[in-house]
Amino acid sequence: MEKILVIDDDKLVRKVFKLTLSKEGYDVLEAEDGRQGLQVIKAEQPDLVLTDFQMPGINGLEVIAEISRLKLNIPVIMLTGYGDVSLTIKSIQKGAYEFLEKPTKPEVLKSTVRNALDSAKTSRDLPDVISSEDEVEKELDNNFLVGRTPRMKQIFKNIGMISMNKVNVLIEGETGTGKELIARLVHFSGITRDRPLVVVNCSALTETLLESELFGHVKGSFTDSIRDKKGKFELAGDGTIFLDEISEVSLNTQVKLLRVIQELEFEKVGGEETIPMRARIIAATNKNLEDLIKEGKFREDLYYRLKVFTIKLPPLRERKDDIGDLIIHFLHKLNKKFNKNVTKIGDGVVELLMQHNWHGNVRELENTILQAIVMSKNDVLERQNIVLNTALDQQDDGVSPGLELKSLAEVEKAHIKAVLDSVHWNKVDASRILEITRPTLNAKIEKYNLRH
Amino acid sequence: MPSKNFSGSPDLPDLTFLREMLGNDQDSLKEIITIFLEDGPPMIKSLEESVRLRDFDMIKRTSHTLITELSTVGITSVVPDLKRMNKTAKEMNDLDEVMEHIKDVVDRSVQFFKSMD
Repeated sequence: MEKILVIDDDKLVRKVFKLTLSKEGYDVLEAEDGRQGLQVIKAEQPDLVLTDFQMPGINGLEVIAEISRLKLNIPVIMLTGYGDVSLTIKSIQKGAYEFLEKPTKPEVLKSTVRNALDSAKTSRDLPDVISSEDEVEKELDNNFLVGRTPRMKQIFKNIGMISMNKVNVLIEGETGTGKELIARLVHFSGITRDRPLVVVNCSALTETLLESELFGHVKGSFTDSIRDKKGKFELAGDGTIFLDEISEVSLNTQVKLLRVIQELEFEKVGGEETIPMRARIIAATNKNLEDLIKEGKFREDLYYRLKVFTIKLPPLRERKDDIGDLIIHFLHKLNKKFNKNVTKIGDGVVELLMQHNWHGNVRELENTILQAIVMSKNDVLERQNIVLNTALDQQDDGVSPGLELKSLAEVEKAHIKAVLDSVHWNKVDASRILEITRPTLNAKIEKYNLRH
Repeated sequence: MPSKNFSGSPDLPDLTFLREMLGNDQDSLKEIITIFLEDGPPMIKSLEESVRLRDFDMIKRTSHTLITELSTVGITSVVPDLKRMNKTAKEMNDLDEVMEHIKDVVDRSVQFFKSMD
């Protein structure tokens, strides 16, 4: 009979797990804290350990570390309570087989336990072909992680795995889903965390400038190149280079990027010296690169070189169960940033935000909450201060077929006016919402001849 | 009063989760409820004391445990309040009222469990 050890300082939880798993035919042992758990592990050598994270004395991560140190090859399932999502990456990095949130659905518990036991058996039956990596001891600060939906949890688990390897990563997701945040997480949570992270927005530069940015240039290689300049690949060193909006790179530059990835070396623009490339590449796109390949706008060979591992970030409308936690997260963040004290959520606010389609994703949600916080006159996030952009919803519904096609300047003028009106022309608040400086706001007010 | 978005109606405990977990086994269910009746009320008392003393570390720890505990035995209507307490107790102006509400719901649930045969 397979032996399972459940370590949890909560007697009720321990008993529920014991009764459930006993009915599945397992021999279930119990321990009420990490120290007792380790004693049982050494004495009984269970086939699987389920351990709580937060326990007095030795916590769940330390239990995993000790099992690893003793080279016992026992799979561990980490159990966590509310608000411990940020532990996902740490747990997986430390070697946890899986991460389950309490209370755990019975079918999830049973299948995870079965899979863990089967996986351990497969591992025991096979010989090692390479030595395993040293354990990573570095701690990780993931306080900004928000996401309890299964898809986000899976993404965090994947980050836990890939951050320990320097594989190239492609992050796909709509605008505002947090692609750069994920890139930063991959970089800072793993083996590159003490190395540079260099961010390049590929859409912001012309072809010539982008090449100069990426590879650097030598003095005199083109007009205005008055001195040698290091490129982003060189600056990234052993770290990470994050290529945002990779779809916007021209075909010419794509060829050069491909060569860098294949040959792991490059030359500065106008230079002859070959410079080695050691950085990990994380690329991000809000477009479907496979479609662009079909249209001849993106090289297939480069695509496969970039997507050694792919992270697909879901749009917010497909992870609406995270909205509650995101609201609380943004209240914390924005209260601190803007010295406000909005600590309550008014009637109907959550329901209203849950109904919206969030075409601008998490970024739109943050801006909506920011606007409501700025407009609040007390400590309540009130429904009346929630201003939702429903124009795109109407397009979805097909009820706005005669959408007026406006110039960018017209849209900007109208938006600035709307924001100013919404904050009663408080320019400090307006410039915060618009994320521009006050002089820039003043210049735009003058340019568009806006009046209170 | 606690914010409506953080608390639901104090319904009776919903034992669906536990029944599924325990394969509808009545003896096992009784065993779990007995443990809850022993451990749950002192935990609520501890939370109440922490709230009275504004011991925010202890509020965080105890509410964390209670979220799992109460979710398991189906007292889910106060779980959003506990989550709010767990995250933002320091900033809550209605902390005492929320605590009172949680205690009231748990007390009634305890009576319900005791009345179960």
